[in-house]
Amino acid sequence: MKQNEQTERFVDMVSEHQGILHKICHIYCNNSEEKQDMMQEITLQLWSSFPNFQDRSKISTWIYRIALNTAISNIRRSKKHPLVEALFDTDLEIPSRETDPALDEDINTLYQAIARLNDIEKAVIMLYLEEKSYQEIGEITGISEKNVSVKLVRIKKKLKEIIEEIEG
Amino acid sequence: MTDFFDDIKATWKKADEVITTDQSLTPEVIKQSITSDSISITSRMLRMINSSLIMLLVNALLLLINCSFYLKVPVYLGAISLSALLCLILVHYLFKQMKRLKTLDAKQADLHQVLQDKIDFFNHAFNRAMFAYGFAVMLLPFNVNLYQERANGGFKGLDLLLLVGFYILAFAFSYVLIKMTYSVYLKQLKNALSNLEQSTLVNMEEELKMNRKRNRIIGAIMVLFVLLGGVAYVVFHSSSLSGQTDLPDIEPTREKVLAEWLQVNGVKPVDYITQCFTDHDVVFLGEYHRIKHDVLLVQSLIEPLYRKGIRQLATEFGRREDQALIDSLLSADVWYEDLARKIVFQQFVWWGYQEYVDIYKSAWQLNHSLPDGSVPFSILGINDSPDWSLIRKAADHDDHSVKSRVWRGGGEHMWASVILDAVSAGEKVLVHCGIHHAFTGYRQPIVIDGKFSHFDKSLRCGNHVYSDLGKRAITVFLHSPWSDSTGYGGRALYPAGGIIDALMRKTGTQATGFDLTGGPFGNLDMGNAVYKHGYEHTVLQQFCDGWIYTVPFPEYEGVTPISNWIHLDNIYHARQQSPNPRYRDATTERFNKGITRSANIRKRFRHLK
Repeated sequence: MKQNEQTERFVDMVSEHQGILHKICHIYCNNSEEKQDMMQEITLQLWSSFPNFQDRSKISTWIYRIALNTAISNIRRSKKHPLVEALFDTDLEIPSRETDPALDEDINTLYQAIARLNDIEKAVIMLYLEEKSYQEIGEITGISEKNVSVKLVRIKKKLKEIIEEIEG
Repeated sequence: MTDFFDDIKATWKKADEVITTDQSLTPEVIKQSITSDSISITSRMLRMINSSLIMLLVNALLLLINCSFYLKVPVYLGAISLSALLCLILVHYLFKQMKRLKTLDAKQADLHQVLQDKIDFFNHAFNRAMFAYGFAVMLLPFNVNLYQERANGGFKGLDLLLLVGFYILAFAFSYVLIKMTYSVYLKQLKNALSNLEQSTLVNMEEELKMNRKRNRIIGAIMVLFVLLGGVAYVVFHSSSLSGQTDLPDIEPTREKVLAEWLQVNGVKPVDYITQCFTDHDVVFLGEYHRIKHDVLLVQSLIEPLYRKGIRQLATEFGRREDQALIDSLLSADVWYEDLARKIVFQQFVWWGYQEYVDIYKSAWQLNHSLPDGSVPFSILGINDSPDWSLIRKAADHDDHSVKSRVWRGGGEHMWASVILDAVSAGEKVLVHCGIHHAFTGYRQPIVIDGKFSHFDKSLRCGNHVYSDLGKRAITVFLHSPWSDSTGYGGRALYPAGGIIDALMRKTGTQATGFDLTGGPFGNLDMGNAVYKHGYEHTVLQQFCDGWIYTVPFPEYEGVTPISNWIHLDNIYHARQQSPNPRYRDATTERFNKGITRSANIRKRFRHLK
C-alpha cells in the first residue's frame, strides 16, 4: 500500500470513529487544552501502530485499546512529573474538571463521578457503559473475563456511592 | 443497582450524542497530527533522566559528606575526585543521550526506536550508576575508619569489623533492591516494545501488578535510606565511635574525688588568678581567641590585680613598636577610642573586636580613677611588627627566606624579653595571649599529616620565660576545645577527654579556677588531642598549671565585631597587611564579613554539647 493511500485510509478510519477518541479524552482530561493534546497523542499512537493492524480484531476494539492505553500512560506521566512538565508549559493551570455547559446536570454529575475513579476503573466503567461484552472489555484492557466481572461489581458500587454523594 | 445503572447508561448515551457531535477531528487535523513534530520528546527525555538523577543525587550527597569531613586533608582529595569523576561521567552520559534523542525523527513518531533507546539507556545508566553508587558506599567504611584513626588513634577491632560488616550488608541489600527495581522498569519497557511490535497493548492487569511491586521496592529503598541515614548519624555522633560530641561517663569513685576536691579548692576565676601571683611572678593566661567571656575576664582582672600590686598586663594584642602609643592612651585625660582601635588594628588588621579594645579602656578607667601620683597600670605590647605585604602567594608562608623578612628579626624570644625586663624591674606580670604562646613547661609538638614530627625548636614565649624563671612562671588555660589528633586545624573536641566538661555539667559548677599541680585534675589523661603527640604518657599537669572553667560550650559566645572596622581610610593598609594574599584586592565588605565570620564561636563549637 502506498503512503498516500495508507494515510487516506487512516484518516477515514479515525474520522469515522472519532467519537471514541472524544469520549476517552473527555473522561481522562480536565480541560479543553488537555483534551486537545491528548487527542493529538492518541492519533499519533494510532498512526504509529496502524501499519501493524491486521484486522484480527474489530477496528473499534483496536482503537479503544490504543486510545485507552495512551490516555492512561499520559495521565500517569503527567502525575509523575507535574513540576517538570509545568516548567515547559507557558500557562500553568490548576487541574480541575471543568463542568461542560453544553451538557445537562445529570451528565455533568456522571462525568464528575467517573473523574473520581482511578485510571483503570475509568476504562472499565466506560467500556461497560458502552455496552461492550465482558470478553471485549477483557480484550481491550487485558483483564480476564472473570476478573472483569469482579471488578465491575466493585466499580459500579463505588460509582453509585460517589454519585449519591455528589447529589447529596 | 440494575435500575440505577440503566439510568446511568441512559445518561451516558445522552452524553454520547452531545460529545460525538463534536466533529473537530477533521481529516486536516488528523493529517496534521500524524505529521506533527509535537511528539513529547522533552517529556520522554525527562523521564529517562529521572532514574539516573536519583543516583546522581545519592552520589552528590555522599560527596558532600566526604567533603565536609575531609576537605582539608589532601589524602582524601583522591577519593573525593574519583567520586566527583563518576558523577561527571553520568552527567556526560545523560547529556549525550539527550542530544541523541533530540535528533530522533519525531515526524515518523518512531516509538520503536524510542523504546529501544530507553532500554539501552537503562542498561548503560544502571551499570554506571551502580558502579558509582557501590563505590561511594564502599568508600564510607574506609572513610569512617580513617577518620576514626585520625581522631582517636584507630578503631578497637570489633568496632571496625561491625562497621565494615554493616556497610557491606547495606551495599548488598541496596544492590539487590535497585537491581529489582531496574528489572521491573526494564520488563515494562520490553513489554511495551514487544506489544508495539505485535500491535497489542500493555496488559493492564500485569501492569498494575508490576506497579505495585515497583512501589513496594521503592518504599523499601526509601526505608533503607532512612535507616542508612540514621545509622550514619549515630556512627558520626556516638561517643563510643567518634569520641567527639558526647561527654564521657565518669567512673563514680573518680567523680567523687574530683568533685570533692573541686568543692574545697575551686575558687572564682578572678580570685584564682589573683591568688596565683602569691607564689608566681608571671602568669600566662592562655586563650583560644575570640571567646567573649575570656576577654571579659581579662578586663575584670585589671582592677583586682592592681589592688594586689600587679600593675603589668603583657598582651599579644599590642605591638612592642606601639608601646609609646599605648602609654599615651592609658595616661590620657580622656578616652580616645580611635587611638585604642588604631593600636589593635596596627597589631593585626583582622582584630576588629570591641572586647579586645575594651581591655585598654578598662586599664585607662582604672588609671583615670587613681589619685594623683599613683603608679599607673600598664599594658605591655609584646607582639612583633610583621610585614605581611611581603607574602605574595600562599606558598610564601612555607618559604623560610620570605618568612624571615616578614617577621623582621622578631620572634617569641622578643616577646619574652619584654616580660623578663618587667620582672627584672621587680614587677609581676599577667600575660594575655593565645594558649600556644602561653606554654611554659610544656613543649608544643609539630604535627604533620596527623603524625608527630618534632618539638618546636624556636620555643614559645612562655617557654622562653620559663627557661629563665622556672616555676615562677606558670600557664593557666582558659577552658576551650582542643584540636583532634589530626593536627592543629583538626576537628574541635573536648579538652582532656571531656572529663572536666562532664564533671562540671554533672555538678552544675560554673566559673571556677583551680590548680592542676598537686591535685587530682592534674593527673587526668589528655585524651586523643593534638597535644598528645611526642609524649608517651600525657597528663594534664604537663600541659598547664591552672585551669579556668566558665560555662558549658553551648553557652560560649564570640566577641563583638566592630561594625565597619575596615573602611575606606584603612582598606589599603588592611589589604597590604593581611597574611592571606588573596585579600590584596578585597573590598571593605569582604573584610568585615570575614571578621564577623571568624567570631562565630557558636557555629565552630556547635557539635560540642
